[in-house]
Amino acid sequence: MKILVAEDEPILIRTIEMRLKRDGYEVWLAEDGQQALDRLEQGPPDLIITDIMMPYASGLEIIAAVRAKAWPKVPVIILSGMGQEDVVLEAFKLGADDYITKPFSPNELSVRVRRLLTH
Amino acid sequence: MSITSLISNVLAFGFWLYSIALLSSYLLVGIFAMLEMRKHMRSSSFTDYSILASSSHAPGISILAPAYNEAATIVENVRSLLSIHYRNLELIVINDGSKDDSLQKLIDHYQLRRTDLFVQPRIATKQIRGIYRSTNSVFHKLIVVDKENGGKADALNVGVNVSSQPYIVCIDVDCIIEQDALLKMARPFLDSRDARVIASGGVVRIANGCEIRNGRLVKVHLPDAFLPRAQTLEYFRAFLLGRMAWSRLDALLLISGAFGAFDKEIVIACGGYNHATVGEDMELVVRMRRYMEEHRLPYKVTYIPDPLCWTEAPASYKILGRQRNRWTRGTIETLGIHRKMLFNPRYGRLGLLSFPYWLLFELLAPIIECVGLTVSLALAVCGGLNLPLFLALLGFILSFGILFSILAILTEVLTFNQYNGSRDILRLTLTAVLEPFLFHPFIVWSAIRGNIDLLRKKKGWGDMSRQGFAANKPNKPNYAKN
Amino acid sequence: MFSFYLFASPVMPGRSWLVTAMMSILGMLMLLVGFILAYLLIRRRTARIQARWRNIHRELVQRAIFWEPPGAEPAGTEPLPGEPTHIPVPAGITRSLRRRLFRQVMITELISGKKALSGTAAANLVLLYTQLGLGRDSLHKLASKKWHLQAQGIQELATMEQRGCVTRLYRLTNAHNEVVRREAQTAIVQLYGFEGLRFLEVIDTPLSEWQQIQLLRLLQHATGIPHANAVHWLDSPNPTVRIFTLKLIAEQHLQEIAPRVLECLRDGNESIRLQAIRCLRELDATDSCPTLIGAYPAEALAGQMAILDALGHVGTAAEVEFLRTELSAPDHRIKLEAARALVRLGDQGLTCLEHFPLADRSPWNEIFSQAKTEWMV
Repeated sequence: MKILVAEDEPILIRTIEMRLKRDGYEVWLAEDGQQALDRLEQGPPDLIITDIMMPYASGLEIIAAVRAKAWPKVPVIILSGMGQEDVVLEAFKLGADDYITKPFSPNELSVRVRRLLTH
Repeated sequence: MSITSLISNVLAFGFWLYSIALLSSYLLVGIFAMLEMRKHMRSSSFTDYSILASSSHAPGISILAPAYNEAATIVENVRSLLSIHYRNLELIVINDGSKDDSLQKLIDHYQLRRTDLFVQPRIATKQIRGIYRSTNSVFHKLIVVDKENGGKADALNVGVNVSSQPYIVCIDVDCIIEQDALLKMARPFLDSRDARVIASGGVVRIANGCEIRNGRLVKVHLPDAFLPRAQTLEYFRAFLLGRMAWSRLDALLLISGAFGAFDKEIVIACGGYNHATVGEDMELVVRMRRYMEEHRLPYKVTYIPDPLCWTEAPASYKILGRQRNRWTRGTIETLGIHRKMLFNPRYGRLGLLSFPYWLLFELLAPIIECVGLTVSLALAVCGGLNLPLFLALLGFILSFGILFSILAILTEVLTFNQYNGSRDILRLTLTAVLEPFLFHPFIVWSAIRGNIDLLRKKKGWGDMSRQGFAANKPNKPNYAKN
Repeated sequence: MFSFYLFASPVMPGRSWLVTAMMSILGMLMLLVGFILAYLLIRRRTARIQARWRNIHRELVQRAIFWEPPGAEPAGTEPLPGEPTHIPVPAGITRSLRRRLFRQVMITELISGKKALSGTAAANLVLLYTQLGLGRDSLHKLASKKWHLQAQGIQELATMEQRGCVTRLYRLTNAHNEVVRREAQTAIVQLYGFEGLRFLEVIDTPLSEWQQIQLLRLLQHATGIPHANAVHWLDSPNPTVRIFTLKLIAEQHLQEIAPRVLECLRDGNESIRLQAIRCLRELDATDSCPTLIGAYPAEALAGQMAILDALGHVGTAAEVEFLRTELSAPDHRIKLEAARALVRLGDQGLTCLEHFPLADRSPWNEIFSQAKTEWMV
């Protein structure tokens, strides 16, 4: 199972990587929005975890890019510091499958990933 | 002592006094700017600007982006503007009667549909032909206004009428705006305590030579060509030192038309942009300040030195000359319209400090410089010039000018340090040394031409075709920029 | 930029003076360029060293995040109280921690991790911060005379939940320096939630809008605001405290306080009246409509528009008649706001718009159609 993680905070991206690897997933890292978009050009991952506010391209754009592809549906988890109701609603409207607000617990993330991938 | 020698002595003394006054003002500007900059850098290091991105209490902002014949790049530019981090945001693109297919491109790409939007003409403008919004909710922040051609000032006024938010940010549509730009620009409006912040200026930086992808700045490079590089240095001096110092004195007169934020109510109260001048950006700020002073309202004009907006500078002497010619005319017109404020204590430091400074050191400097050189040349021909003294004076003033440029480079290095280490800094230093000989005379000459053109009542924009961030830009006239 | 000058004359400075001045300027110039280059060199070196340190630190931070106390069963359980727990730290790091800069890089890394993480991971980062004695550095900054160091110290202590220094932080909530004051207030609220807002009773300086936004954000998920305090803050002599309280009441939906908020409609300060109207809109207090309508004639444009907007949210069929009269107001902005409110009120409002005698004339036709399209979107 391949998971694309787009997150610009170095500590976080390593934490997420470590947690997911421990769960036995293959992890693709993108340190900004553009890297994530470039990575998506190489083919679909099984799941995407993305921040919203990132340099070069936002998480919402990444969702839009994924949904525009003719792939079978790739689940997307938003991981963002923005917890306001309408931001969350907008993300879901654009096609996000789950929304985690920072500060977050890596263990919780791992559970949510597993749930989305087994469905 | 003969009459002629008396006159020449008085003249000489006058010139000397002027130079000393000019040099001291530069010195003060340098010192003020560096102190203010240190404070700004320290205080912004604790600030988490991102909390504004999602707060519903952040002030609503409308970005106004007038576009005239920008079809080649407009879709990309709008996409990059839509990705700016800010929640209470509305992006208003005003198609100022473009002769190309700008509008159709926007309609196709952003799935626009004509909508009913009641626009109250609070400022008189040319006719609006239609207002469009996207049917795709991803682009819900976008509003496209199609109007009859009326020039940049008129297009901006239409934007003000259409805007539903309390603050407007005026930009050139082909500028590259950093994604966190609005978070930083909104800050001063929220920080004020008793004085109302009526406008906030931003920095414009030179994008020539930088790596740009999908309408976004990916990597900063120093331009290789001399002309843009000299302008990079010039902008350092103007934005990092000049405006920073003037904002510390709260006496800023100019907010660049390429990137500035305004309190919409005040803009409307004083009648919006003036389309009778080619310097509509400076004129608006002066008029807003004048309005506040005359109504005895406490206010502030602030300035954010962070590099948030990048623009392409003219790369040829011809286009640069036109731009400076226009700037000169704009300045003269603005100071002319508001000449009542000059030396008028009723307008506080505006009348007693900013206005005299602009008149003496921005407007008259090229003229005095030109006259000085002509007189010296004439004297040299007649054999009346004390050459060693002339050279010593020239050397003194030149070295001071270079010192000021180096000070600007130092400020950049100590603060944002956007360029790549010692090599770029050495190239900039070399530019600082060459600039007085290769760049400065041309700037002075363009300013003189501006004066002459104004005397001849030449109107109009002076076309400024640009290379375009995408290289294949058609050579149609756009708005003159900056 | 410059004008040059040139004759031999008794009033001019001598040539030798000029040459000396030029030489000293050139000297200064060389010095500056030298300084810039040296600065860049040193900066690059420290950046390289710090990058190396950061890698070391990140490894330790990662280990701390996933660390489980020995003997603990499944992940996520707290260590037994009283049992000393230590995150193992390599000896090399312990040695290097004698260097101040090394510690600072470590603090920065811990802080950025702590800000984004919660649960055991966050608790472990705090544990590492205390275990390494980094709190001493933060406290040291707090004692500094420089405002930017003080502010930095406050932020570090608050992020790392060092509740032991609360008295010192509390004293700084009314500090002379604005940034220090702001950070101290933020810190207290970050640590104690609503209880931390105690400082509202003592501050005599304005709360900037920025600061209000920051505090509201910290409190957005907090619960259990004491109502008595909120009412008390509405009596504060500091107008910005009253405005902040109104925002807080709206955000926390404190319906019970609505009657007290209604009283604010009589406040002498325009911004407070405006905020009170917006607050009532959020409170869903239908019975406040008559008072809002009563306050309407005396309000300026901004206040009137806010009242119309509020009526659209909390109003009922009873307000349709009032809104209909405002459709004939001379100012188009009032017409539009009234039309918006009517659309929001549902069927009766829409019927009212349809039966309005001038509905098919300009500008009403445009205004009504805009109000309707907006509502559909």
